[in-house]
Amino acid sequence: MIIFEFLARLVAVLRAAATPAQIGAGFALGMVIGLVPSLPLTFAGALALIVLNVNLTAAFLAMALFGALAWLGDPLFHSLGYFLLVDLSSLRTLWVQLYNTPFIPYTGFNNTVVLGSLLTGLILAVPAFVLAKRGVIVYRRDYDEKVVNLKVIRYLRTTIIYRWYVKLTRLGEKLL
Amino acid sequence: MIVRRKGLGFLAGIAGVLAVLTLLFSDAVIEHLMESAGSSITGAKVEFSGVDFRPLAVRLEWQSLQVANPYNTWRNLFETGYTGMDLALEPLFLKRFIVEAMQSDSVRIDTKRSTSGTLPGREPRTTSFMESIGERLESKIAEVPLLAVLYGGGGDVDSLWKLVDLQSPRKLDSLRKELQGMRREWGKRLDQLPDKEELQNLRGEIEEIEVEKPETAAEVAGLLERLRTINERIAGIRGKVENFERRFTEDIQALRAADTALANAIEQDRERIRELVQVPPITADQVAEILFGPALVGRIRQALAYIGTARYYSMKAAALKPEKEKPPRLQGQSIRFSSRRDWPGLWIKLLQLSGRIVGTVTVGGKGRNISTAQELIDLPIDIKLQGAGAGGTAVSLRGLFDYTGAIPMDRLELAADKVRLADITLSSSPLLPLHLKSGIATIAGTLSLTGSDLLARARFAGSSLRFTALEDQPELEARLASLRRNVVQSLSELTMSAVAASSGEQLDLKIQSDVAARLASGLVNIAAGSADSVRQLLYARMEEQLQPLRGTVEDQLSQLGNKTRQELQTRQTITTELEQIIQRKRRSLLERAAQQDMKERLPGLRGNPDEMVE
Repeated sequence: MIIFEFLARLVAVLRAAATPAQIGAGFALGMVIGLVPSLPLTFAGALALIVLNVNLTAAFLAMALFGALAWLGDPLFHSLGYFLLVDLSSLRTLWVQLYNTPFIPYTGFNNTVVLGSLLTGLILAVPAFVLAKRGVIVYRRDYDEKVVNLKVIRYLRTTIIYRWYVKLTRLGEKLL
Repeated sequence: MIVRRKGLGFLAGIAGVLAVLTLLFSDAVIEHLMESAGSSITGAKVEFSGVDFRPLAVRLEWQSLQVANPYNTWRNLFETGYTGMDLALEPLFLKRFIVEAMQSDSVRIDTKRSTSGTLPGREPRTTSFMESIGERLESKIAEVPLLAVLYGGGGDVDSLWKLVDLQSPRKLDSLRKELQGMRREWGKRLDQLPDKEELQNLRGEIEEIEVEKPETAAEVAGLLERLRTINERIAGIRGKVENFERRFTEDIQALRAADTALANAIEQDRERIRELVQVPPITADQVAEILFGPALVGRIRQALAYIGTARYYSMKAAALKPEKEKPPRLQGQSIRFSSRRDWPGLWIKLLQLSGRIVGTVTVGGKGRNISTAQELIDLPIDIKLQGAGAGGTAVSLRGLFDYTGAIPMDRLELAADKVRLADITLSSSPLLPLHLKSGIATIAGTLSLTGSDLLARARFAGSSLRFTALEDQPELEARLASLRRNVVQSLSELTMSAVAASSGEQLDLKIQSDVAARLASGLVNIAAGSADSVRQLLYARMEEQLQPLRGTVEDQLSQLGNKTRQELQTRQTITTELEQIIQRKRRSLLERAAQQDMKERLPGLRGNPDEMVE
């Protein structure tokens, strides 16, 4: 029963933040988390996901998607990180200061792939947020009704998985 | 609202659950993690029990620990009893264990294990420099003559016999063949000599001459002329026979010269056997190496195992080179920026030890700066232990493992005075196994390793020694068995000193001992006697091989000589006999001519009848 309550709360949280901006923010945050292969940063991102009122479904979707893309982008991230950490001597003072700042080294920022992917993620976060938000608005205005009425969607609503989803949603709403 | 209050509550709930789980299971998890990490570092099993981690005090304790020796997994490098340590907090977040102070009780080194300390799927570890030195030391001992000749010798005669490579049988066989050719040759020549029939014909011709018949001087002269002609033919035959005999004698003499060469070859073969079965140069140093070498090398290898482990631990961290690497996907390359946070994985700043070694000797001491990356802390590992026991026993051990420079340097020093020994094998050599039942010893040893250059010194002086009686070994020669018994029975004091040095490919090992000197002098006598026996056996085998050939040659030579001389003798006898007959007949003819007053009518007759016929 405890497990059901936990899942219900989780689903309620997911549905509670469903504005285009929340979905866009969740997507952007999920993208950054998915790209960066650092456990401490992933953990920090997960905390942010829980604490910030963003759409978790979009975040998880982005994490899965960009987690896979990160593997492809690894050589690029490594080169970018190495350039920033080693070749760009003007930043060396900054890195040394960060390296000697308590807890910052635990993020693994001095790792080429971590820094490269983090910087890439942060740069891409703004366009990702804008595009995702815009996409949600366009979707809801032009395509939502059509999609809901698709045979596939109607079929999925009859499945046991969907019924469980609905049950959990209602339970979550009551608890919240 | 940007912040999700329910999310914060959820997070707090998760944190609470984690805190409870940590309190419940942290000790078991830490124990498992430490065993796993320790095993991966040492390459053998590391087993903790009773681990207790106190997060608020940042203190770690355990009740016992045993670390298997990766080079001999049925023994522990060391064991400890209760151990407590105070850890620095911040490095723990970077998985760095910086121990400010550590106290370990009941420490024992090189203890037996009830189970193998080998990790599944791993072979006991070796390092190249250790193996290289260890193997070269062992091969150095193997170079010492095994004195096989002392162990009976019978079995070795066959192998030695194969090495002799005798020349004399070949020479003798060659002589035999030469003699066969000579027999054929002289047989043919003998056939070409006038045979007996020819001589008998001459005899017939002589006998046909009737000295009573001639009536006239002309008839007498004619008969004398016939006798002269026959005599000339006989003289020719005699000349041929004498010539034949002279040449035959020359050939036989030549053969005798070959026989002398054969005698020389036999003597050379005997000399070869003498050289082959030399008494090995048995020196006291060699005997000392045979007796104490294996045990000493074993100890050096054991010390090298400790040093190998220390080097493996302390030199794991690579030099900090921010050259661009090609790491595996999603691994990246970590760049280091300053040394303040470059802690080694483990750094025990101060370790206080107490325990027991060699029975009742209690030892205690300190270890400083035991770390897994000396180049990061720039301090060598320094261990000092001192101990004392009943009867004035004193022990001290110093270990310095310095890998801060370009060349790693290790030094181990051990000094033990009035140590009571019991049940210790000093020598396991079959030449003289020495198992000590009891005794008192003073031991000193140093081992220093600079890079891969080794210098080890050891000195042992034992007194009041009592050894286990030697077991009978039937295969040992009686004199050797007696020598061993006498040495062991009279051995109450023993000194031994050793130096082993290895640099590059060069290795020197020198061991000296008073017992080895005593044993060596006895062994020299025994070995000389044994070698002489082996030589006599080889001489006998040589004679066995030569005798049939020699007999054949002598028989053939004798047969040839006898037959030829017999034939020549026959011809000489007949010719002499015929000459005598001719002489008689000539005289008779001359006497007849004188009686018949034919002198004036016999041309060439000058009063001496012999002149006419010659």
